[in-house]
Amino acid sequence: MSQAPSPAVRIGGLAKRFGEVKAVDGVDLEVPRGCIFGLLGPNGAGKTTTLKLLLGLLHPDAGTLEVLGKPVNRFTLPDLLQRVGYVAEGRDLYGYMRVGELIGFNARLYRNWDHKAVSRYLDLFRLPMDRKVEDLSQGMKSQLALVLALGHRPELLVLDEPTGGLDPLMRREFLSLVIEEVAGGRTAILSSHILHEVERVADLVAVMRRGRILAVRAVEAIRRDEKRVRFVPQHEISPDDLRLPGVTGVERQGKGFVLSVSSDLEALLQRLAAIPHFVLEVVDLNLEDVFFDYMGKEESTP
Amino acid sequence: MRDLWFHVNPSLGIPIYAQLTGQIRALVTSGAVSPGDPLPSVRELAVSLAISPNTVARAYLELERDGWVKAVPGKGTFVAGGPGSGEDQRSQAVLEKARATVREALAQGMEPVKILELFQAVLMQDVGQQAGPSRRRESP
Amino acid sequence: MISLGLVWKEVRETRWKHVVGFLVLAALGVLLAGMYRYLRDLVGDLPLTGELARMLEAQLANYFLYLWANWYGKNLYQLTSILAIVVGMGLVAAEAGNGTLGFLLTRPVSRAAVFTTKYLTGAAGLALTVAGASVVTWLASGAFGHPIPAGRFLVGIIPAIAGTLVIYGVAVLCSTLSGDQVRAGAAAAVLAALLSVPSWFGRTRAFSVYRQMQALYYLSTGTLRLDAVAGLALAAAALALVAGFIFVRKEA
Repeated sequence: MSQAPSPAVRIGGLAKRFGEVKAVDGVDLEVPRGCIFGLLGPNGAGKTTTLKLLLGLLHPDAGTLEVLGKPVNRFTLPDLLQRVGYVAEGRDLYGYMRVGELIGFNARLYRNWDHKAVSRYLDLFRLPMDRKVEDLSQGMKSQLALVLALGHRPELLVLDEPTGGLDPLMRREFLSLVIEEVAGGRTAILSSHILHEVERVADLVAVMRRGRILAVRAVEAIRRDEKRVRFVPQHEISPDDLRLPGVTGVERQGKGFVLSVSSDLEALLQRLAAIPHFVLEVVDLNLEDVFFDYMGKEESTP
Repeated sequence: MRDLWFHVNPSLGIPIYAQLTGQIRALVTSGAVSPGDPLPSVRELAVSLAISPNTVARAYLELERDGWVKAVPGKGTFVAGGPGSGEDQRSQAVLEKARATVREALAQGMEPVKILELFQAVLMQDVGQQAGPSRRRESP
Repeated sequence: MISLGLVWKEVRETRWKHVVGFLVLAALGVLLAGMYRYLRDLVGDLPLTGELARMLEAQLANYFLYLWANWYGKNLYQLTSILAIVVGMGLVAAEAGNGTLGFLLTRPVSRAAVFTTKYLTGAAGLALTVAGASVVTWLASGAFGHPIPAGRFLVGIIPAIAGTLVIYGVAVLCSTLSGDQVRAGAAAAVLAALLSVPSWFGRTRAFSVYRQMQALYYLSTGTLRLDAVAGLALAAAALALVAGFIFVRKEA
């Protein structure tokens, strides 16, 4: 990740309620530049609201919002939007326009519209220029929305549930464009309610639920560090004796224990080895297990 | 090197960069690729595997640190000889110094056989003292 | 404060409303000019007595009176009020309803410029329709053998446009507040109907938008009441400003 003076996004204490519902409830988040950032959480977790707040579509009740080093307000927004590309959840495009018209309409609004790149993308997706947008398939609408969001070579790409309605091949093509942009030093935020959508591409993942961010983790570090250790001691010991550094959870299973470990695995294994035992083994966790763990923790503390 | 040689499983509890470095090391040690062969660019490999460019960059960085690949600015990343190749550069430096010494000796009119004897004598002496590990040498 | 890039889209979205509005009004104007002779002969032949007969005769005695009373005094203001509601109700609510507002507001254009562009494109369309149809009516008058001085007739365009913009402002305000253009249109229609209440009473008649749009006093005095026009323009501007302020703070 390239180090830049200001992060792509910095959110502090963000809150937004709709009537009685706290859609966003004290969110702090930082998205470094040059990364692919996954915003993960079930439907209704507050992902879309957070992204809409980021783009100035909604106004926060409290908190600070910074995009590309600038505070988000109605004075900075027009300029910021020259540098941000957004694909909304509903692909809210003008249905009555033809594809070519919609592209032309956009091109006139941006200072740096890259006509060459746009026609390359249109070819790649085989989007028909003279077709009305409302007559496109859902997948083609998503592709068109992405082309529109990339046309001005934005420094930050905000994609809300971007690959919904895409078949696997389309999804690959879609992601390949995002990946190319990030390879060029740009930043992408992808929201999704399906881990599978983001686990492959994301550098960082924030888990959101009920308006709060439960965790922000580097995905590769989760793969490397998050383990489970099965441990069956020879003599009865208290679970509290196993709450060692790096251990995030102890679960009794019969005579043994399953420890959830998030760091310092080597040191832990050494200490466990010193305790007389029948079984000591390390189990790799896949991401799904880890995220279920995060969700589960939230569930038990309402 | 073809992208088809790589595959990653993002659901495993093994970092993707580690999966990649493992595959590239295997390609090098099995002889499937030879030193000097180009690797796909970070962008190409990231796109073809649908993974983050940062992950590919990290894999390449680790491989370069360990001497498996060599990044040539402006040209790309190339296969290097393996962990030994980190020493290629060191032996290259020694070679340069030896060459300078030999040239100096020759310039002073010393016989080539005599120069060889001197080198051997120095070597025997030092190795005898340190009993250090003998190191594998490769011609660059 | 106007985004030229957006003007194209706004025109593209509202052009048919304006074109149809213009065609209907222009056809009415031509019909009014062409019908005069027949109406006069008809009324002359009819055995009418009393109040109705006197009113009809007074109207038909003079072509200028006839045309003003039927154009500015009746058809134009009625139809442009409807047109103003139709154009205004969709301005924001249509985009909120079909979900394109989020797309529009994430383009790199300030909220104020988006609103100003939308408002002015619609207002310009209405003004052109009113002016254009009135010019057609004037041309038709000449063509049917009732030449009247252009300035004397076309000056009625000014209060007509000012009044149209008041109704338009009401519709735009409803459109900005609502997420559904049909509901916005219904609300605007109710409010527009309420605006006619002052014309029912002698004391409040001067505060009726529709009265001032007709500028009937012009027929008797021959001068345009600039204070009335200014009042309409002020009301229109105030409505536009309020709608603009709400739009700038609107969430999508």
